[in-house]
Amino acid sequence: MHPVIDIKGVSKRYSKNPHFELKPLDFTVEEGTITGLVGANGAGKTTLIKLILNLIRRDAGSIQVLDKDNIADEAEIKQQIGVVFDEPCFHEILSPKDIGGYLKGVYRDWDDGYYTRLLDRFGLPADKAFKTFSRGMKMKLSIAAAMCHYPRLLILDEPTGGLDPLVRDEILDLFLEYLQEEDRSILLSSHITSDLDKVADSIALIHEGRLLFHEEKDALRDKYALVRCGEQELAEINPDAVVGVRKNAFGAEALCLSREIALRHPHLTAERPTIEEIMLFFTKDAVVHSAGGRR
Amino acid sequence: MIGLLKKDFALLKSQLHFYLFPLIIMVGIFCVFTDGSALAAIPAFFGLMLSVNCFAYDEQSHFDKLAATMPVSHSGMVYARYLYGLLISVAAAVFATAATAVTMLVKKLPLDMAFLLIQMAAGIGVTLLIIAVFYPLVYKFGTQKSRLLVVVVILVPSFALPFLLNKLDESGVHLSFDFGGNPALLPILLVLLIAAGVAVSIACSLHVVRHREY
Repeated sequence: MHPVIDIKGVSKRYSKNPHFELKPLDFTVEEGTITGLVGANGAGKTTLIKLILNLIRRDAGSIQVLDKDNIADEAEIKQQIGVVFDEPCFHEILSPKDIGGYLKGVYRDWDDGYYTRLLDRFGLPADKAFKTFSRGMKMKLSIAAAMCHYPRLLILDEPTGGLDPLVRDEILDLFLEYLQEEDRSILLSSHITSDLDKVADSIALIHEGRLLFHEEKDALRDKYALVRCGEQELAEINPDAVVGVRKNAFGAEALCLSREIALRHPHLTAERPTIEEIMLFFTKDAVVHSAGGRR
Repeated sequence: MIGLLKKDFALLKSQLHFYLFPLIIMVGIFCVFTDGSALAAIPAFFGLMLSVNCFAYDEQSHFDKLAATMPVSHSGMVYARYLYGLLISVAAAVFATAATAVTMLVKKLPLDMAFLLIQMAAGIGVTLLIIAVFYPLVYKFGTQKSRLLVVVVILVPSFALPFLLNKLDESGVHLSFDFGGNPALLPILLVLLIAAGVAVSIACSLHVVRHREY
C-alpha cells in the first residue's frame, strides 16, 4: 500500500485566532482504505482537511496528494478527488439536474448516467429545487455529486452529522461500495464514532492541534482494554499501563494496555473499548496518566 | 471555467421570471413616453443586477468554498464571472437596441442605424465599466458592502463630472473631442479605455481571489 495523502511536518497558525495552532504533524492516508479522523470541536480536523485541499495556506511542511504536490499540481489533483463538507454548498434555487449540468463542465470524467442512477437510488427528484430537500437529501446529493466523476480520493468532513441512522447507514454502505475499486480511498472526519467503528480501517485522533495517534482500527481496539474496578484494584495496576482514569460513585473506569491486564490482572472485568471510549480517555481532563499513548 | 459559466446561466434561468415583470414595465414606460432611446439604460441596469445576484447566490450557499475544491483555477473562476458579465451586457444591449428600433418603427420615427449601433455599443461599454468597478469590490468586500460602495463609486462621478465640466466651461476652458479634426478617434479611445479598465479590474479580482482563504 502506498499513501494517497502524505503530510510531513505541516503546521498552521491563524493570525485571528492565536489560541489555536496546528502543530507540526506527519499524517498519511493509505490507498484502498477508509481513514477516520476524530477529535473534539476545534481540535484541528477541518484545518487539516483545508490544508490538504489548499483552501488555506500552510505555514510549514509538505503535502502530497495522489503522489503530486497539492499546490503545484492542484488542478490535476482536484480532477481526481471528491469533497463533501458538513454543510451542503449548492445553490438553493438549482435542481439536481442543474447541478449535474454544470458539474459535467467541471470534471473531465463526469458520468451523467451514474449521477442519474444515484439520484434514483437515493430517491432525489431531479427537477426539484435544492431548497425543498431535507437535510438528509441534501447530504445524499452532495455525496452523489462528489462521486460521479469517479474520484480516486473522497474527502468527507462530517458528512453524516445531523442525519438519522437509516440515512447514515445508507451512506456508509455507499462508501463501502465505492471502496471496492482498489485504487480508491476515503478520508472521513466524523464525530459519530459508531460510523467509524463500522467502516474505518484506521483511526487518527487529533487533539488541540496535535496528532495523538494514527493506528489501524482493530489493532487500536485490541491494544487497549476498558477496565471497571475499585480504587484499590486500580492502584495495583502499573501506572505506565494506564492511559486514563474516570472515577465515579461506584469505583473507577480505566483505559489500560490490554496486554498488561491480560497478563497481570486477568481477574479484572475488561472490555474491548469503542473508538469513542478511546478518544474520551485520551483527551478528557480526567486523564491522570499518560502511558500507552502519545501526549 | 465552462462549468462555472453554466452554473451562472443555470442561476439566471431559475430566476428569469422574477425579472420579466420589471423588464416589461421598464420597456413599456420607455417605449410609450420616449422615442425608445432611454432603453439604453437596460444593459447597465440588468447587467449589474444579474451579476450581483450571481455573487449573492454564491455567498448564500458558500459555493466559493466548494468551487475551490474543484479543478478550476483561480483565473478560471474570475474569467468565468467576467465572461458572464460580458455576455449579459451584450444580450441586454442587443435586446434594448431591438426594442428601440421597434419603438421607432411603431411611432413612425426615422430609423437611424448608426444611432442604434452607437446606442448598443454605449450600452455594452457602460455596463462593462460598471462591472469593472463592481466585481473587484464584491470579491474583496462581499455583496452587501459592495452594493453600498458601488453606489458611491458610480454616483459621485456621475454628479462630479458634469459639475467639473461646467466649472471648466465657466472659467473659459473648453474641452474638445474632435482630436484635431479626427472625431473617429473618440470611439477608438473609449474602447481602449474600457478594455484597459476591464483588464485592471480582472487583475484586481485575481489578486483578491488568489489570496483568499476559505
